[in-house]
Amino acid sequence: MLCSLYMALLRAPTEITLGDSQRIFYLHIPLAWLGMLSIIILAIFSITYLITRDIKWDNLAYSTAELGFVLITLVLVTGIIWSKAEWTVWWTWDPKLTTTVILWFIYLSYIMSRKYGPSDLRGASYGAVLGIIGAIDVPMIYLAANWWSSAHPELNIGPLSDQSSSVNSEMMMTLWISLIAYTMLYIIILNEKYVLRKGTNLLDETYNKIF
Amino acid sequence: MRLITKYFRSLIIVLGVLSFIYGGILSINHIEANGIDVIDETSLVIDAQEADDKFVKKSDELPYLFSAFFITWVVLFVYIFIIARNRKEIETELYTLKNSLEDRDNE
Repeated sequence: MLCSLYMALLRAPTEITLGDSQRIFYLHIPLAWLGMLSIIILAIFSITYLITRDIKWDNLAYSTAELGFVLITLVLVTGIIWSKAEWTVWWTWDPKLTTTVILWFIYLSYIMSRKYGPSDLRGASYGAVLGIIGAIDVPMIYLAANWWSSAHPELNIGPLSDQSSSVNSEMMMTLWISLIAYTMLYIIILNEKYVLRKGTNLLDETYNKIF
Repeated sequence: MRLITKYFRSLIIVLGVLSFIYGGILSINHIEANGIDVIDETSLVIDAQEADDKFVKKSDELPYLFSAFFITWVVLFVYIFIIARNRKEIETELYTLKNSLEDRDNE
């Protein structure tokens, strides 16, 4: 993480048209990647839960959803800050921004349905279905700039990107280091959250058995 | 193992805060000392006036850059702190419950 911050703030060259605000991307892109990855993992855990009915998968799904919600919130915040710096507006209804807001609402609805919905196994099943449906939003976010007219550039990295597009090699290396560092942090936080969720459930079960 | 996990978490938090402060200070010093550090793949020639304009633009954007990193790290630290605190509470409660159940069984 130290290396990632050093690369992003000091080492990476400044982009000629965007200036220093472009450095926000070394934070914004990893957060967006993890926010979208979370809903895919959530869908996988949800499917596994529906098949096996093992509460472990539901605990993992809930932990992923909560972390995903935090990350997508940060994606929107960092995006808004960058938008103000470069586009001079806080918000615009760009397709990529709109589909990301939809993902934010999907996470929010998942968490609210789990908190205020049925607390038994029915609640877990409802949440699982919502998580699976929510994952449909990910390809829409990823390809929004290609499908619709958008202020965002078309894909520069990834398997579906335009291979002829050139990104400075040092910028690319900084981006990859950031992606790896934030992904490692994500794994640690997810593990901590899962242990907490498991402990809470264990405590509830124990109290239910005693009283 | 629990001890390692505990100190590992604290270490990550301390390193994160230090690196953030260090990065911020160095970033400002670097810009003040070196001025423009621009790479353009299509044109590597930038005249002095353009470079000055860019430097002004970069300086204007620093608060935005700082805000984005600051908000993100504050939110992440608060989230990690809440998880760690809740986990400690749950562990304490489970330990107390286990002891009281053992006492009841002994009686």
